[in-house]
Amino acid sequence: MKRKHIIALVVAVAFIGIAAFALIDNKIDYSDFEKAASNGRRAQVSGTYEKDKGSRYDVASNTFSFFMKDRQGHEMPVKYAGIRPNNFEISPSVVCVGKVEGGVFEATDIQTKCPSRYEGSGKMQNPTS
Amino acid sequence: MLGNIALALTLTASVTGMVLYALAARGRTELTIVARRSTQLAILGMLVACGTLLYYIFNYHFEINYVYEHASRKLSKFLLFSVFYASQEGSFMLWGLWTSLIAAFLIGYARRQRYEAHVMAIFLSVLVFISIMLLAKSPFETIYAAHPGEAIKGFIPADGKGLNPSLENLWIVIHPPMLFLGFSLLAVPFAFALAGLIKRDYQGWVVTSMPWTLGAAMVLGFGVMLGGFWAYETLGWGGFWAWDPVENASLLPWLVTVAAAHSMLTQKRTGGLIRTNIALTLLAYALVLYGSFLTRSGVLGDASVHSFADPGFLAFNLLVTALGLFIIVPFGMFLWRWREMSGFAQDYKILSRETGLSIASALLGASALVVFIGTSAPLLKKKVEMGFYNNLHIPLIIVLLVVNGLSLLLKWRQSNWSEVWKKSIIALVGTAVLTICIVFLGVHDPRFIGVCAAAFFALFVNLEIGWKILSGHWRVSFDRSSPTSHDYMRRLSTALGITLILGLIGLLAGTAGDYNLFGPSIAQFWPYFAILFALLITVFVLAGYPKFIFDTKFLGAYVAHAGLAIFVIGVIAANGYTKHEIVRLPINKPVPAMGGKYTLTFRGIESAPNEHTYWIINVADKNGYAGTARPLSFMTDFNQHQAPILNPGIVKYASRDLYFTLMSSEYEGGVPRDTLGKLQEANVLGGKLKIKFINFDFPQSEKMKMMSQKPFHVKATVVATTEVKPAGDTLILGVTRNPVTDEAKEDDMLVPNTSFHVQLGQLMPDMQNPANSKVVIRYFDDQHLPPAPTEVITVETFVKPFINLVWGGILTLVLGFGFSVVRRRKEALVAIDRAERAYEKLLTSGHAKSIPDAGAMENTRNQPLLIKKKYENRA
Repeated sequence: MKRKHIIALVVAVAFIGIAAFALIDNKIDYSDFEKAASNGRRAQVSGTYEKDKGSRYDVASNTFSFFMKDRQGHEMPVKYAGIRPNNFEISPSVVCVGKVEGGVFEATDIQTKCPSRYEGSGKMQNPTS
Repeated sequence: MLGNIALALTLTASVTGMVLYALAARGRTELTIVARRSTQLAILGMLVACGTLLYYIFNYHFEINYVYEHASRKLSKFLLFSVFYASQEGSFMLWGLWTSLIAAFLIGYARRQRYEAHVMAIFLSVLVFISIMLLAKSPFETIYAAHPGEAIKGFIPADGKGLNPSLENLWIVIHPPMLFLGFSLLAVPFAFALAGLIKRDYQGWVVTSMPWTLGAAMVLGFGVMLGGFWAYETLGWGGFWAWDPVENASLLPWLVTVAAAHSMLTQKRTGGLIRTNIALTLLAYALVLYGSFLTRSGVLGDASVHSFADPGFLAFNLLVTALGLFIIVPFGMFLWRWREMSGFAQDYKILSRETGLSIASALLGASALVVFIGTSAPLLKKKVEMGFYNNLHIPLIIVLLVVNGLSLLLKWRQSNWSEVWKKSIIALVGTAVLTICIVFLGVHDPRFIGVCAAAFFALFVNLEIGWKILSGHWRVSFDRSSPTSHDYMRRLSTALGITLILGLIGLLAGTAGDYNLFGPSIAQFWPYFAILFALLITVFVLAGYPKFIFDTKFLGAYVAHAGLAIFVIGVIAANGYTKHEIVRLPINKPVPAMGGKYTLTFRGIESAPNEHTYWIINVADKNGYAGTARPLSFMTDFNQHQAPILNPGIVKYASRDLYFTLMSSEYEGGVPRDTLGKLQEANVLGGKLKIKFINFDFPQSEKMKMMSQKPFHVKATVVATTEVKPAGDTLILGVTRNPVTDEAKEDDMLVPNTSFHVQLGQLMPDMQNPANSKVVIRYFDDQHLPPAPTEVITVETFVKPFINLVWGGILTLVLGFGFSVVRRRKEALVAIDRAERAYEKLLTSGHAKSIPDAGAMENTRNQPLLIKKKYENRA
């Protein structure tokens, strides 16, 4: 039994080591534009889409670009390699994963929220009509 | 009203049942009957509550807030059904419904296994929790209570808000119920493990719980797969699994349950691993609640697309309390009994099937740990990228598959290498050949080669053994006795049933659950099913009714393991070797794609009800027409018609899918146009015409029309200069736009004494700084009319090789679990019978005094004397 236990222990420790390494390698912090711009690392920034500045999809380069204001109130242009995400206009918040390059947030992933999830704030439509 | 009363009844009756059962478990056995009645009352209450909610939904009772928020008159009946569990409250209802139905079956089984009082007391605690949650956040709340001050008493909205558009798909009618059935079933092994712990029946509960553990793994696995399938067929990003925290939350309990199933098998043979099995089983259910906490408490917030919103203070605290209780109480009990649980395990050598099973269990546990860490990262305001999961699972899955194949070649207790070597030759040769094949076919990534080789090995071993088992045990015989008219009816209905079921599955899979496509699909494919039906009838009439003798008893493990191997191969192929290309398709013009392998032709659009538009893309390959992809776009009230919701279109081959995501559509050519800022000038039509934008006119009255979504008219002043009149003509251009349809009607203006037409296309006013406003000007020469505009769509095209192995692999895995459930259920029943007989013998010999339990009786089989002593001590 002893030998079995030692082998198991060694394997377990090795695996946990690898897992820890992989975790450090693939971890992304929740951040804001200022921090992401200063350290240049990949980050997750959440904020709101600046509706009045509009958004644009460019077919030739397959990029979707818009302006986003983060939770700190900083605004930055965001470029995303892909099409306009579903529910983009009505999403109460937008979450982008990517990094800042030359004053532009290059997003590799954008998540939008379905407003239905925000049941608490669900206002009645035409409550008296 | 009725709904809340029914829920209150469920709560009261389940609390009563729980307390009475607990008392019965402590010796007051006369209370069992009352407890049983009380449980049945709780089940009835839940059924009535669910029926009431369904009634409200199907009869459009929009004064009920839940119905108002999620139902709508536009939804088809199928989709109305999914309103039932579209959100927080409803999904608790679904959970409660399944838990109640399971309770109805569990009473009988537990009673038979002499486990009723303990197991039902624990199981009912789940129902108590669910009904408290439902009463705290009731689906029966009226809009007047939910929106005080907004909705006036007595007012009933004409229509509801409707379902989230990404849920408007028939797969969503199957996926959540399957998932929740899996979650609910996991409460059964949990109850047996905890009851075994309380009763000190550390061995017997394993046999008793085994069919339920396997059944829960089967259903949950299927539910998770359906979620992936739905994502693939409707979300359009081309994948089926994104390691999203909510997806992970459903995977975690599955991994732990499958780990438990493996080590429980070891315990059945050796009596060891007592603590591991109890801990894993308790953990699996704790993870169900943990997942439910993550997705429903709002803590995931930004981290997941699926998570529900903050449910409010009360519900949040209830969730935390429940999570705490379902962890602290069972694990407290577990630690309390820790020292007692050391069993008299039979020893086994390292090279034995027991070791294989334990390693499998440990690997699944390691996988669960990885998923747990990643899923919990958002709690620490961190995010983990997909690479974390993928990179760690590659070594895990390689070892898992090798152990999978190897352990089936090992004997219980001990084996020797020479024997294993001899048995694995066929599998090793097959693996080597296939691996070399895939390297030649272009798989060069060493990680993928490793995974595939391991999967081939596991697949060969399992197929080989499976075939050996099956080859002696299956045959088809035909009933040749002269049939009566009743027999003919039965054959007819069997043939019809088989045809209809296959047709339904085909329909759902082929249309990706999009009900608008049902009509055309049926029109296209019904002849094939008619032929199938005719064939079946012919066989039944000429040859007789077939009888399948098919012994699946020992097949479960091999089928499930082969399914895993097939699934892994599919994942590597479909995810590692997807090719994609962005293609522009002008209408009716064939365009080569994917290096000329396919020719795509955009054939125009097809409109369907509810503002659904299909974009018809014909696909041809070297053999000619291959299929039609119909990516869908639709507008919905849900996002106030601001942007279309997109679903992909898929052309399925046996060996691959062609997957199309619509990216944009636009018109090319047509009347030329230019965008001009103020006082900017454009030199157009080969220098023959100059247009300068001077100013625009957008009066307040027209702005009001635009705001209220009515057609409005705007004007712009330009100066057009030509050779005819170098001083220029001042022209006032106008355009009427309909803000709802976005249609524009330009007033045509001819530059005097020329053939040049100038029109205002669009006004782009800048409200903050009017000087930055722009206009779009259209112009053409009626002597040389511009070509007619063509519609061009841009699609992202993916080729996903062997994606069907992903679905086929999981279905095979699920089928294997099914076979095992049947086998282990029989085993549990046989074990209890045998133990009862042995115990009766003990009773007649006058040694035993107390009521026996399943585990104790099971042990009487092997160690009657030891058990007798234990009973005497306990009494």
